[in-house]
Amino acid sequence: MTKQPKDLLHGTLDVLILRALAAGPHHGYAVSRWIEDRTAGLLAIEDAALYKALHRLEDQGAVASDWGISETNRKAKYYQLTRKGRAALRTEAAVWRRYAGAVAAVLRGAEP
Amino acid sequence: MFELPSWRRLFRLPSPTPQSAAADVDSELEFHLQMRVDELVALGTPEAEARREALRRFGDVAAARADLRLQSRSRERRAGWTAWLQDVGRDVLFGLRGLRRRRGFTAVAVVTIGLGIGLTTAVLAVVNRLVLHPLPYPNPDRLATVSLASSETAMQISPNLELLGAWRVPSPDREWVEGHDSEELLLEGDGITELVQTRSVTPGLLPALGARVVRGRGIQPADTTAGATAVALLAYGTWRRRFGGSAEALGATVRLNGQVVTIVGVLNQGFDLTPLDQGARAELWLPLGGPAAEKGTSLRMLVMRKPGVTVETVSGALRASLASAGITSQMLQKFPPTAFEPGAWDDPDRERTLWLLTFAVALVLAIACANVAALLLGQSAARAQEFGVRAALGAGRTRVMRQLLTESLLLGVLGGGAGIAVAWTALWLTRAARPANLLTLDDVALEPGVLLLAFAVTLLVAVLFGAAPAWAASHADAGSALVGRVRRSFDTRFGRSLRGTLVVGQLAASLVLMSGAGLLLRSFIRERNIPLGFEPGGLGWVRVDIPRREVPLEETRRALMDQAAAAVAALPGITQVSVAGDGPMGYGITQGEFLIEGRPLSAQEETVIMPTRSIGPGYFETIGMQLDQGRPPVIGPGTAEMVIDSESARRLWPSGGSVGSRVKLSRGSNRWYTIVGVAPEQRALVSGFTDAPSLFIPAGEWEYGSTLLVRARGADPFQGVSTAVRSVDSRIRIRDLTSAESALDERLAGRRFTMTIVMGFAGLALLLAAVGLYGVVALAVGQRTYEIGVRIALGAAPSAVRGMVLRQGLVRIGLGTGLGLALVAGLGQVLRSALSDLTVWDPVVWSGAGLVLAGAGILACWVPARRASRIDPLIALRGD
Repeated sequence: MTKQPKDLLHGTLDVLILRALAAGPHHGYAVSRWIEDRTAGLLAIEDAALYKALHRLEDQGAVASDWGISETNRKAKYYQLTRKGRAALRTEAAVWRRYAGAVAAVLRGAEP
Repeated sequence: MFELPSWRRLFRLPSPTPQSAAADVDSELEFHLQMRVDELVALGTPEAEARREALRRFGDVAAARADLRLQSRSRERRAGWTAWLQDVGRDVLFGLRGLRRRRGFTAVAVVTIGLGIGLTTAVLAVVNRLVLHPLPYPNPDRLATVSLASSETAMQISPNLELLGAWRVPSPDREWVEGHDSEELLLEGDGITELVQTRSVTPGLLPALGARVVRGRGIQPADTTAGATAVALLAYGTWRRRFGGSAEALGATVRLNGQVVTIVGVLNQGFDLTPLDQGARAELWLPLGGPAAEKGTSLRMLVMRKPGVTVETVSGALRASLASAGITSQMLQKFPPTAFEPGAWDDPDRERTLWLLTFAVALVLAIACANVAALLLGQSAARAQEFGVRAALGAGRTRVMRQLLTESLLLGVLGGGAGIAVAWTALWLTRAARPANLLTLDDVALEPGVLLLAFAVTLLVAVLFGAAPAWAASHADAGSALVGRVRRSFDTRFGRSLRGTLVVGQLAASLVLMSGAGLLLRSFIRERNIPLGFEPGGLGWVRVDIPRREVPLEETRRALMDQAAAAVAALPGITQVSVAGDGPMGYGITQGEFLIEGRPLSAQEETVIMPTRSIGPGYFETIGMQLDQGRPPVIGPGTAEMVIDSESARRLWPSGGSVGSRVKLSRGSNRWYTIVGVAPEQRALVSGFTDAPSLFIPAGEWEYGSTLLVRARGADPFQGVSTAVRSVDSRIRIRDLTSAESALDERLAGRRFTMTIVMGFAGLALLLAAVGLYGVVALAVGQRTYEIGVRIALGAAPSAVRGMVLRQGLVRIGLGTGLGLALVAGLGQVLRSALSDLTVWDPVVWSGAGLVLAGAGILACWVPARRASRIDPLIALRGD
């Protein structure tokens, strides 16, 4: 049994991104780092997938973007939650908590 | 550090180029990789390895890039449109708020546009229905009427049912031939007795013309045999009116001219043959040739040509069909069957009249637009400060123009909405006031096509009246606006001269309309004053119907007629009664020859169609006609006398001697009539028979009169006449009494109607032009308040100030009148061809219209001029 991270469950990445942006506007790299830090590398996410997800969320209107200047003084694209994104985060997070609780309860029952 | 204000979106291009979207994606990814490399390098990884690691962690860079580029491009495009729509929405909201703030201005503009567009729409609806789509049937362009038409004269006679049989054989030229006839019959049932219009039709006609049977059944071939049960279909309106729309109408029986008829069905609403022949609306539909239908005398045929077949071809084919069926006769030689486009039945004046009305209403619309444009120009002068401020805040020229055009479009849409209400009202009024012979006006409705056109006109109009003010306003000068030198800087020479030009154009256009109305009025008066040769005051007539079915014997019929005349003559107030074939304005037709005794036959014309009146004793005294020469004919057995009209008497006897001459009306006849008198010219009443003599022939020569002419005196001269006639015998049926005066009115009703409408348009145009002139002069006074104040302070007399302002208006009135007269003269040719009997060169009308225009114009200038002369210099100099 390896300790390698599994493929992400569908929708997980979106909710993680929304949570990362809840703290305030970030550029894509900061979002990537934020997730790496919080998951201690357990969920290694391919950057390509992250950016696709960011753009998809922008299409859906959950995040908005504009150009700004980064802490390293470079031009960077910043993303921030829209009202719709905040609402999506609330519902998605609730769904996840219920889901995780349910799975945990099942697993507890399985251990003698 | 980071901001995402929504207004930044406004600076985005509406549709981003592919390059900019791609560059955005590239720099985003570039930034990401660089950050990763920086971090790894900071941790001590060598640069090259750090780069490799960054790429590895990213995944497939090329694929991601392509994906993201595509996505971001379409997103940007959507965002651009959203932003644009938001802008438009903001403009609209802003515009609406502005219009609400300037309520007075908005109301005047909306009413003006509404009147212009509404009247235009109403006229277009009429033109659309009566000129462009006159026949609401399937394939109207292939429909043709068939009649037996003389190739030499305009005379047409009705075909008969025998011909119909010969024509209903398969042919490569026609799809179907059907016949119809119309007659007024007496309808009795449920205690109501009334004369109703009926149409008798062949069974195939109704379905062929797209009529639907909404209740019961249609007319079937079995119904047309003489032995069948008499059946009838109800017109939709009659069903509602007489039977309350009840299903019990089916199977009910009514009496039609005494015959019991069973109702078997109801036709769909709106179906009628009126658009085809301008006949009265039918209330009942009967099977042609069936037992209830009276013997038709006005049978008409309809033929549906196959595609591409001309009326000439189908005429030839119809003749050929008769020949191959062995039907030949002298009459068919003289009057060969001929197919006509249905429009050929139409009054040729109607279409021209409608185009004239279209032209008139277009002028009204143009004047209305000019007024709104002038209003908007005045508004933008007043709003100069607002535009100046906006320009100072960075609004571009196009931005201001767009805002103003949006406002004009809003005004246009509001005005268009008002216009639909105006059009609806106008059509309703028209229907209520239409002349009796313009039945098809009842079918005119605001159809979708017309409404669409009205909408297009609205948009066009809005752009037209909005463009100039928008252009002027977009030249607002930010600097002078902010330091308060607004008025002078903004109210450019351009704006002023444009307003002046608009007013001159308006005055000219209203002069054109007034001249047109004046010319129509003159021609109407001329027409009304043509001497008709009889005295209409106190003259009336009653048409008497004695059904042949009930009173078959001719002698009895004549006796009943004479009894009716005697009963009427016995009434108080009645001075004269006479039996005749028709009223003094109606006439019958004699087809024959007019052969003068003693002249060689070969030198005389062959067949002529002669308008003929059957007259009883006392005819000329009763209608009040003075004979030019001679005496009325003596009527009775053993005499054969007649009277002819003065025109043909002069033509046929250039050196006199008509009285006393003898004529016969057919080569084969031996009956010679002595001409005993000459009646006044009949041209005004009997048009289209210029070369034929008008005959006055004793009643009973061919037909006994069916009309009672009555001359009466007193306040209510015809009281009791109808009752007296009815009381003679229960079999006598009469139609309402017609007074000569109402008949004369009806004769000119069409002209009066057109004239009234054009006069209404002219009045409206004058009002609008006067309002326009008032606006311009008043605005000029407002802007010159300071200057006028100075003048008054320096001692200018009020009359001098008044004169100064008035002069300004007078110059425009003069220019407008001059231009208008030039236009009338130029349009004269067009008008002449449009209305044949209109004299365009009419100095009375021209000067009259000019005087009315000048009067209204001076009145419009007088108000601001008086205000100018009362300016208080103290207030004027303190302000501004």
